Amino acid sequence: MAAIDYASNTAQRTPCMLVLDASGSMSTKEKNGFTRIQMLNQGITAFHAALMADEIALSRVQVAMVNVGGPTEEPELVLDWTDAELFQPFELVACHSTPLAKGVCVALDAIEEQKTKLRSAGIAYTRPWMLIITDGEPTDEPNEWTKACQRLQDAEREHKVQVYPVGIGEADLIRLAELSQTNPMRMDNIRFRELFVWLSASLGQISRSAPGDKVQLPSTDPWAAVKL
Amino acid sequence: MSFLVWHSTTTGPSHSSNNSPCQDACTIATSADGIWTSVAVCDGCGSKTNADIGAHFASDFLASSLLELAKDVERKGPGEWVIDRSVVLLSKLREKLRDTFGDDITEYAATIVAALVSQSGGFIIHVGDGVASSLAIEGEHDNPALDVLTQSDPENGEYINQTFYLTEPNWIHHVRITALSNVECLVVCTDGAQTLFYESNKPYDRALLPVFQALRENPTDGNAFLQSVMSNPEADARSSDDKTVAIIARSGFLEAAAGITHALKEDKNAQALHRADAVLPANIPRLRRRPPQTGKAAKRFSLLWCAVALTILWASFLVFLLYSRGYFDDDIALVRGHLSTNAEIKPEVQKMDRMPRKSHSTSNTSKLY
Repeated sequence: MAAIDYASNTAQRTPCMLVLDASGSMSTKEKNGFTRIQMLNQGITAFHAALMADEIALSRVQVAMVNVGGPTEEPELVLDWTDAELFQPFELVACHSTPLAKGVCVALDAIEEQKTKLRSAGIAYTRPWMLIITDGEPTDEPNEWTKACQRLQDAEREHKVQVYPVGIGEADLIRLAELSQTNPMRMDNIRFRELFVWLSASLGQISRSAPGDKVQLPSTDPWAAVKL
Repeated sequence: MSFLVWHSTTTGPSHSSNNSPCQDACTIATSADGIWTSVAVCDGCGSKTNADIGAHFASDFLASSLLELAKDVERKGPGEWVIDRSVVLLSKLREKLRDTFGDDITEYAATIVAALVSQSGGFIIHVGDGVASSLAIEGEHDNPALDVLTQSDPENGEYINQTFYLTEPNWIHHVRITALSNVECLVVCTDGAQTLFYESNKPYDRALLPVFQALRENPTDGNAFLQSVMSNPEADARSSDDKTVAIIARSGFLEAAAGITHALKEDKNAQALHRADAVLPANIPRLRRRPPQTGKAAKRFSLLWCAVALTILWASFLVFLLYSRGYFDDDIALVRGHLSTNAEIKPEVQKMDRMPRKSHSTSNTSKLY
């Protein structure tokens, strides 16, 4: 992917990393006849549409994606950092296991690398967001899982990243709660579209924020069911 | 001769939309002899409940205390002791806040940009974000331009929406004191106003020069003019934050600044540039516009272009049809006859060069004037 031309857009940036479960269990068909991965892909398209409708977010939000599972099996940065105005949605394919710990580590590395790039380009930025979406148990080795949990929690404690873990279907929220200091939320009835519209609106708010602002994020009611 | 002084504070849409108070405050004071002027601009922390009270308290206290300090400066002369006294001043402000509002002063958090100036020099006290720039007009005879003599930059943390406040326990690590020499013009802004008058932390001449021109032409309405510049949809689009600007200038500076504008007017190549910049807020750095890409707006946009293209296609086809049937033969013969008698007609070419601009420089003086 071509490097971002920061000279043509010097606006502050709000980086958002999506860590998305594309494991085999995401092929599960829901009551509405769609598989979970189909609904996730629809959600990503809705995210794109919502960003396109917000002129400020369009020039300030940056998006990257890491897949957990999928054809590559090992987590990969399937979408390198891109400005929202150049972001084009694409479809994820569900297969293989759920190496979530590895996915989180790939995402954290990509976030730190991006911060370095922004700093060297003289671009101001807000705290990066990481949205983790999974429907199953992580399949990593126990020591890998423990290390990833420690690393992510340290990053949160040091204000390096703002994490939002979201469980769908039968996701084990207890395991997900080990990962982050932020309590995970369970999505109600696989409402990906609502989740991503909320994400876009929230990023829009953050990207507009000035020092000292208490940012009022939109309600998670349209998509969230349970808060642990 | 004393300075000319203007200032204005506007409530940003983030506060006006929910009827919450403006959290910016600005106080300016001038000594009885007119030699010294003090200014304090404070921006209350948005997430703190009494930040507006804290900002007003701090700006009033600092403006009056700095004028008191001016008496000592006159008596002792400038020196490093001014730095020590400035830190003591901030410490006293924290103490006053505690005496007035109780031990927990965190809810009164505000950033501080304060300055004490005379024509021979002065200094800036800074905690957190906001900006103060000492400006001059350089190269008066040859390509005059707005120059930054000294600037106290905003201090943010790692993230742009993070800064530091006097009420924090580690406040002393974030105090910055900058000496000024030979003050011609001092511009002080909170971060909200900075989005209008600065670009990438540098004073934006296309935004500031028309302001200086307006202040020179109508000094008595200067505050109202600043208010109008900062409270319009274009300014709101730049930042929804409260906005405060204070401008302290010598009349000679404003005359020289007007010289730049005249130079622009006289330069024919810069006519278009000048027209674009003459009226605020058109000169405020614009948000990037792009054609709509989704929904009904995008559809309308595409349909419009399709209709234009089809019309041009039909018109070309019609002209070709008429031409091929000899409909224009008489007209063509007439034009040929006319051209043969006006052989010296040449196309006019206008060359539009860009105005050369001098780059800004930011420097810090190493000692107190």
